[in-house]
Amino acid sequence: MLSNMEKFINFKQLRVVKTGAADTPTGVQLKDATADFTTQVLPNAIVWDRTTNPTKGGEMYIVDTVTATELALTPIGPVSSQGTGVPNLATYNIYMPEYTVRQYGRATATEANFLVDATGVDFIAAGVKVGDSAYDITGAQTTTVTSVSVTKLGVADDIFVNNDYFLISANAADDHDKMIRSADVSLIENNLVGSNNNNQVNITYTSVNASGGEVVYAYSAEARDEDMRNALQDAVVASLETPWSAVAYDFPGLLNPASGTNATWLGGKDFFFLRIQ
Amino acid sequence: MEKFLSIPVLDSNGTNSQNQLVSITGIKIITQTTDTAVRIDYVDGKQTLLTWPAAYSAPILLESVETAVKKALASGWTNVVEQYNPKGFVAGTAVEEEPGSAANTNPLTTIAIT
Repeated sequence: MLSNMEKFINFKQLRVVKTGAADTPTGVQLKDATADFTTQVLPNAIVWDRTTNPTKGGEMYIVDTVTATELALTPIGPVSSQGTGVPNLATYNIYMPEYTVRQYGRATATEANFLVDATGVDFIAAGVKVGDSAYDITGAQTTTVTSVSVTKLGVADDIFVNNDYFLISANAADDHDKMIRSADVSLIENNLVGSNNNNQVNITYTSVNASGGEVVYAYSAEARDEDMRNALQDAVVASLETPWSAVAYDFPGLLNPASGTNATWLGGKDFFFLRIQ
Repeated sequence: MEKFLSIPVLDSNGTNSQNQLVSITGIKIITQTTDTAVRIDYVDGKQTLLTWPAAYSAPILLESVETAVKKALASGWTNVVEQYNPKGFVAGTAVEEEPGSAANTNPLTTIAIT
């Protein structure tokens, strides 16, 4: 009996933390009067405008500063495909490659070196851990969580007073495992080669009925067109070379040696997976 | 290898549940499409949609199914069927009047193949 092994590549895919439709920007921004970005978004988040320039995969940005209804942005991705702000009515997704928001709220008391919220939050259930960042939105200061109880967090610096808005976040990407088949692959290629769309790689399978796979990623302003495609090809081969019982091969990550912004954009890790489907 | 997950799902009377086999051979990708649904796409184009009775935000259900699939596929080829109790499921007792059925709590609502 001939039978293919069941093999997969496992990616760390960023979770969509917010979606919406933009209002008219007045600069390189995302404006949304219905949003409350401060409750969900922190600097260095990735914004994917999926509406503009759709044949080139949309347009992507990283977040510089955050207010309730406005994000100041820096365009990323292929230089020729970079946008000038998320236009009116464009739909957007936001991802958090550096932080995971645990809890948002408003302090209900002033207590030295503590953040108190007695409105019904449960910091333990929210997953807040010692070492997480505690951002005082009102006072524009950040400190570190030193202890955790249901309604109170010990903090390293005495920055919180009654009625301050706060955001607690872990210093890790808000991502999860997402695997896609690496057996029965017939072709891996960039989407729309030659159209400056090198933020999507397509996987074609041997079955005539298969719909194929798509890997969408974000990266800084410079990269070689073939870097991600080559990395996926290598991952397919590596996954098929593992013993049959190693079903999922963890994608080892990819740094971008071509990028001049490699050292400054999100700590040098230049490729982030936004959608695997 | 032929491999299946055996998953409790509400039976036709809508009260008790029986186990149904779902193939995990030839999977292309698994996606949590809503807070109550996970879709398994096969490489031949077919799809299986698993629907939960209670909501769990993504990626909770996705990771649950992916973990079960990986575990089942990593087992020996003679372990054809792997039991998968869906997130939130609580096993109940067998129902004598309905052979094969059990009064489980929170089995899947439906398993639909397209």
